[in-house]
Amino acid sequence: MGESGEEGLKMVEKDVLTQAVEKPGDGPPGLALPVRRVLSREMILLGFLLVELIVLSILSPHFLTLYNLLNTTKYFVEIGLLALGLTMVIITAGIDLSVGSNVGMAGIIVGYLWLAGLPLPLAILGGIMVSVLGGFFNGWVITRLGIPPLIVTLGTWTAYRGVAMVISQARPVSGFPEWFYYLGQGTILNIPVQFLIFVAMAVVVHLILSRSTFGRLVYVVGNNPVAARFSGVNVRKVLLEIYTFTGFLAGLSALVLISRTATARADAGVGYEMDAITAVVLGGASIAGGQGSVTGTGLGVVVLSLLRNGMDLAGMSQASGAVLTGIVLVLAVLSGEWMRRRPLRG
Amino acid sequence: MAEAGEHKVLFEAEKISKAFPGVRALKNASFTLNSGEIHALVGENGAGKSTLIKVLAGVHTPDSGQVRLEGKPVHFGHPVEALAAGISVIYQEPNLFPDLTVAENVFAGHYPRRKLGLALDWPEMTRVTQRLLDGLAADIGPLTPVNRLSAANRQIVAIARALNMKARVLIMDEPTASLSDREIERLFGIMRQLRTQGVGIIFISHRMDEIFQVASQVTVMRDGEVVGTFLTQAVDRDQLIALMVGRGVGQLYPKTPGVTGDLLLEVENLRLKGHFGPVSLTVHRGEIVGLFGLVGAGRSEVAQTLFGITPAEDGEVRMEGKPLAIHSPTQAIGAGLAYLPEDRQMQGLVLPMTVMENISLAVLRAVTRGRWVDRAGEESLAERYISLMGIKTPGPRQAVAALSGGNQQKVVLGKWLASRPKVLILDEPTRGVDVGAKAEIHRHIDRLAHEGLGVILISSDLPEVLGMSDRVVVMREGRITGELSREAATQESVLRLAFSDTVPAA
Amino acid sequence: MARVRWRDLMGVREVGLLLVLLGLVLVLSVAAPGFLSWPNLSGVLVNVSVVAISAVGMTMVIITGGIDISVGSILAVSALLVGQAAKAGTGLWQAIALGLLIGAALGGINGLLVAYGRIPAIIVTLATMSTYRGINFILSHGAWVVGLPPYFTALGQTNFLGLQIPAWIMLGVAVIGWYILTQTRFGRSVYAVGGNMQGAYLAGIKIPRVQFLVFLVSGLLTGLAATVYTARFGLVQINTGMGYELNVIAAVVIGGTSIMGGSGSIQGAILGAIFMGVVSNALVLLRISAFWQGVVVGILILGAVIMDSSIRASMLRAVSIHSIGYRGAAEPTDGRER
Repeated sequence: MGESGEEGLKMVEKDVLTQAVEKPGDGPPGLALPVRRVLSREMILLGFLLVELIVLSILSPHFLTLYNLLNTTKYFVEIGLLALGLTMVIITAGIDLSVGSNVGMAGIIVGYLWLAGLPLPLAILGGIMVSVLGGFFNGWVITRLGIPPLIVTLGTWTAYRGVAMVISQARPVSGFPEWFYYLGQGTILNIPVQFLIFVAMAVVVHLILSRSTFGRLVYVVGNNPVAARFSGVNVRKVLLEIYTFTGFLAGLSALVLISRTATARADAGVGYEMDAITAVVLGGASIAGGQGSVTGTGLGVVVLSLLRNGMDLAGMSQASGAVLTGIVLVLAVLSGEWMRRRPLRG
Repeated sequence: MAEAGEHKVLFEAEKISKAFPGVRALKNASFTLNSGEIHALVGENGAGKSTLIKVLAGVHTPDSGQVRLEGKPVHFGHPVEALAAGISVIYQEPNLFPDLTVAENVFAGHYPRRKLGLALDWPEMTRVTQRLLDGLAADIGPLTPVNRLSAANRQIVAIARALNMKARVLIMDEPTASLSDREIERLFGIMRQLRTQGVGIIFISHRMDEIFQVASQVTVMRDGEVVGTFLTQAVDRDQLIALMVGRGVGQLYPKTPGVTGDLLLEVENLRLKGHFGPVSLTVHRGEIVGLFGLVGAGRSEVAQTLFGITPAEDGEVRMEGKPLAIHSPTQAIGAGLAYLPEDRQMQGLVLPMTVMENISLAVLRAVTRGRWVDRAGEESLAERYISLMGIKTPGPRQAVAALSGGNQQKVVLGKWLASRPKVLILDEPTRGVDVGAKAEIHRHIDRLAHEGLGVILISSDLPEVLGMSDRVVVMREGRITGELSREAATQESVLRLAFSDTVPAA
Repeated sequence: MARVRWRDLMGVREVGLLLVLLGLVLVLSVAAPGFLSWPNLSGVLVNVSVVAISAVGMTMVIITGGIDISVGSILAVSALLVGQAAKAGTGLWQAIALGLLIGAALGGINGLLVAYGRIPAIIVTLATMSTYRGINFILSHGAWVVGLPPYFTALGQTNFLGLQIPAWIMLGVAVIGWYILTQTRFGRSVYAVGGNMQGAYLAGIKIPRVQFLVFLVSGLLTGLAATVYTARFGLVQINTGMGYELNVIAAVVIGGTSIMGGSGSIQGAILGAIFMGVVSNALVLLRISAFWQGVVVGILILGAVIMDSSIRASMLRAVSIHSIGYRGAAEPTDGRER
């Protein structure tokens, strides 16, 4: 009963208060069944996907071929990997704008370590370590200094890109050993290698989120950090690990990107953060925290990339894809909002 | 019911009922405020005072009943309508805008504009605000940002705002909670002055002496109902308290005599600056120690410090003779402590998640295989505690948000029992749960004590404390004012310690 | 006009930033002899003008607790259309009006979705960032706009009383923005909404209207910035304004506006933009590779925020309210009732 009076006030004010970015834990009662909500978001996405497939295959006969579909997967892996990390980040009501810059920084480190004479495997290790460090630094500033993630990663967004620029002086590195290109250009049974990497990572993150102790804590922290703390959860540690892992995924994404394009460039991955966040939000993760899944994010990534690829094939510009991306995002979020509110009115 | 003859009726609520999902917050509550009167509204936490105020202020619409202003029925659909009608509420923590100036806060929402152009009429705002502040004998500049003001001066800004809205009814919700004695005196002076100007004031306070000092009538609420309205001259403190507390002690509480065992937890001179201290207490095996005090006495703060949420600055804690250093809840849990928090929904539960996930939260390590959650183990753990606690849920995979308050509380209790604590700290374990669930929770507490657990029972429900405890420790304003054995603890003796007007030697 | 006092204009935060800026200027005037010349200094002002104009609108958005990451794309669309119009021979004033109109329309769409669609600002502007960028590509057919008429580019390059026009426009916008934010009902409501939304609701402030308007203003000013940009550079690239949003936000944040909403100032945002401009100018003068710019700006953002004790204090306060469980500012009612 105690909370009901409070709840009552909230219900009156909910209409105005929910317009702001919602804080975790003070959502309206309609939030109660996240599983059903995410599922219905996934249904919406599947619907989109179906419409997309039908329309695009009508527009272009080449679209619905196995070759094209497999080929498409080449292009979304780099963003997909980032989206996996961002799924976790966004479940905790955080954000990481620095992932695209981290891709550029890690790639340049790999390229220049190799150029400096290090064997490529060691250079790769160095690149990954730097990207992990980049993620760790974000997490450290967020959890230790209590600065909002948006600001922290805005700062490192420009700083990490700057590091890449300073090291490379904007000069790209290419001419890597042939075996390295296998990662981004090779296929196994006609399936692009990087797609397999993405699937493997997606499975791992999915298992972490749905089956592991850590994944459980991710949702707990995202839904109610106070109750988490009152139950003995080390909230800071959970956040720190998430941002660090996201850094690792950025490193992986950088490797795939260098290998696919055969060059390490300082401006690699510019704008990736926005595509990845779009995919995650499209996939049903709530920016207010507490909700999101790898399945949703995966679908979001596929919907996005097919949209772009299909537009391309149908002779429309990439630009139409960008326009549609935005519209699809707004529609998906609006429909989610609409579904969330309906039971309250009924 | 008393009637203050010479004043005319200003604002009245008649037979107001209000229900929230699963709860009847107000039952046929009636209340009459005369003009030029200070009318105190008292009741325990959860008696329905806030809901009544929110109905009067247009935040809630009543399910039934009528609100009348000067005899005319009014229906407020939005707090602003009540404000426009001359009804202002001043909350304990006034709803001000910290980065704006005093004048801007006084005029919030209806800034005057110059005749020409868009600009605010600063001279007018400053002049009016200065006049209001002068009237309140306040030494505050109208152009000072509110975030530089003390709590007391913020109250005064809120009053000035109400006066600027031509408030005829002023509702003050525990305005004295964060003020010093001198500031309280000044506030009372202002209230008396407003009274002579015909303003009707509804005054909520937990401090009895204040009520007798300033109010002419007092209305007592309990369990969502109005128990009665009295002239303050016609009642004394003990009568009021008896009315607030209500029903007799004894029958509801199934406390059975138990055996108190060895010393379990010792707390010595625990201190947290600005909140409480020094505090010392002990808990034995199988013993229920009631910790009573009014709101703000520092009970929850002591509990949260013991549990490592707000680590102590000073003091010693020993469990079974071994000194403990607790700086985080994790360490507290490891030491055998468990804390059922005061705010079930914010602090105790992850509402959107399932019963199972909530029960296993504090003991996730016990249901894991390596890094993975052992789902079968988790489910059987959850089912064990669901049946042990008698939680009414369709299954362990039900979202906690969908359960009733009593069942939610049993989930929290189950979560902490699963951690197999030695000492269980219960902070308002039965607040906001229905009578049936309350009795059930009491039976669980009794059983746990019999099983050898030490229990600290924090509650502002006095019959509960008296009925359940082997020993009662009373706190007031951050200090322990006394300790009573079960035999010596009566309503009167406990309340005397909790309310005492003289500051005890600490 | 109200009594404008120095203290009102310069809060602790602005003074702090000003001191750091002056220190930097002092160091530079010694280290780089060319720095303290008027052409160089006025050049800095001109260089930051485009970002600063948008920062005025962004400040308002952030004070309400929102964020607008679509300004880069709004800049691109507005610049493209203004450029095309100017090339087609539209008059100067019509071109300026067109820029304002397009910016306002695009910003208005953001505002509608945030205020009435009730979607979090970051998601709305993430979506429109993509959409507007796409529209820009479609409208431009991937081609640059070049060869703008001299009467138009004159707007970006003419000197007037020792300062070029863009700097004057920036100063004008700053003064008007300051006036709106501090002297009008709307401006004070912006702070009220961001500082205490529940209080704003109880005081009868129309929250959606305020939210809508700040996004409208943000778009409008970005439209103006686009015109200035086009006139100044004399051409419009297809990737105009990529990353622009983050520079604008950086200027606002360095200027002391709290990302949590409720506090901030136009003066701060302008100083923040100038500060960033001086730093990049210093890199040039000290012959430090321009590639360092990103790193330096990143450090500036983090440094500014870490120093901003008010943000930290408010964060800590928010944390302690939750963790200690006191019902204070977050919970004005006693909230414990049946």
